[in-house]
Amino acid sequence: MKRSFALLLALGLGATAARAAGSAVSVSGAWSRPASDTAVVYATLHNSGSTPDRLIGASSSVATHVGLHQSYEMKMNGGSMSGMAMSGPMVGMKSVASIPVPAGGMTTLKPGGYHLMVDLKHAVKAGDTIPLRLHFANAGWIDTTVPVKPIQ
Amino acid sequence: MNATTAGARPRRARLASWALVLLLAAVAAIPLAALWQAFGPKANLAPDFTLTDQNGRPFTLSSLRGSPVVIFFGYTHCPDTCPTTLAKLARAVRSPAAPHDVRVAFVSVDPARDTPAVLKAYLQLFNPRFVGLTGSFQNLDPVYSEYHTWRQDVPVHHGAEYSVAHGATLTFIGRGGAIRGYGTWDDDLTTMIHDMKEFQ
Repeated sequence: MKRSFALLLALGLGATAARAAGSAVSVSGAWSRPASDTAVVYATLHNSGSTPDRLIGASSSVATHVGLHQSYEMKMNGGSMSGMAMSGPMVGMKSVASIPVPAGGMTTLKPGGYHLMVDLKHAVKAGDTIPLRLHFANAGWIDTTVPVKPIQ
Repeated sequence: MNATTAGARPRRARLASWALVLLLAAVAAIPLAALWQAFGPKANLAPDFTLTDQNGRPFTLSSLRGSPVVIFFGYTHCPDTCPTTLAKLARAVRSPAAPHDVRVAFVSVDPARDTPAVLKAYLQLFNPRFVGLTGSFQNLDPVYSEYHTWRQDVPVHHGAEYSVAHGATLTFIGRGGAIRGYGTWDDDLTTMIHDMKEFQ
């Protein structure tokens, strides 16, 4: 009995789509890339409920910190920044306090937009997995497992 | 009209034709490339620089002369846009449609963390043939300036961690060493391959 429960738990954690029991929020298509210090996590956050939710935090046993980030781009055509001539786009990223997941909708964490920045304790390579706990304001904690995909 | 003048005219014309042929032959003997270099529009030569590569050795951009080069600025602690761009560049370089000898140079905007060893481990993930370049700000600042890029530390979430906002232009240098065109980090794969061909 205990063993089959553990098996069920392992299967549940291993599934790509994760959802806490009875929760309106689920996670699908999570993935990461090989990295030595700083990894990324992209995923789609779904909210089947009728109230908006938001991701307010994340943690992982393989990370010292997991940050909620948003990349942004500024077009700097011919402008000047700090006295330096600058042209073309400039990219940066900022920490965000939360990532909204609209009621009956979804938010996709993807390159150039929202993403999770994972400060790794050790390098991850293709084929590894990153255990991830996501904290939603309403849905609470959701555990998921993020596959590290080869760079291609 | 008399016979003398009538005979002199074709002779003079013949001489003129020979002179023209000789002149053309002389011009043809000068390599067109040299003429172009001397009198053609001044090439937009990529500013040269010497930085430190991922093996800790001095590396001069112009040593890649003869190969098309793509220059991209970024840093290894960048989790999102830099690896996205480098992964696309790696795919583009692998494409049979791209020039077989195209090289990619990744110039760090974060030399404090991007030591040669860190750059080496990072670039192995994408393509070990990519050239990773770092150095002191004293050496890097003129490069940022000449390539119209810009960098700024941005504090993030916790502790001493910081991210770096930076220019995300791809600079395409042709085999002759001239800047041929520009792209941006979020160009799709097809565009990157196209630009590598177009600007080689």
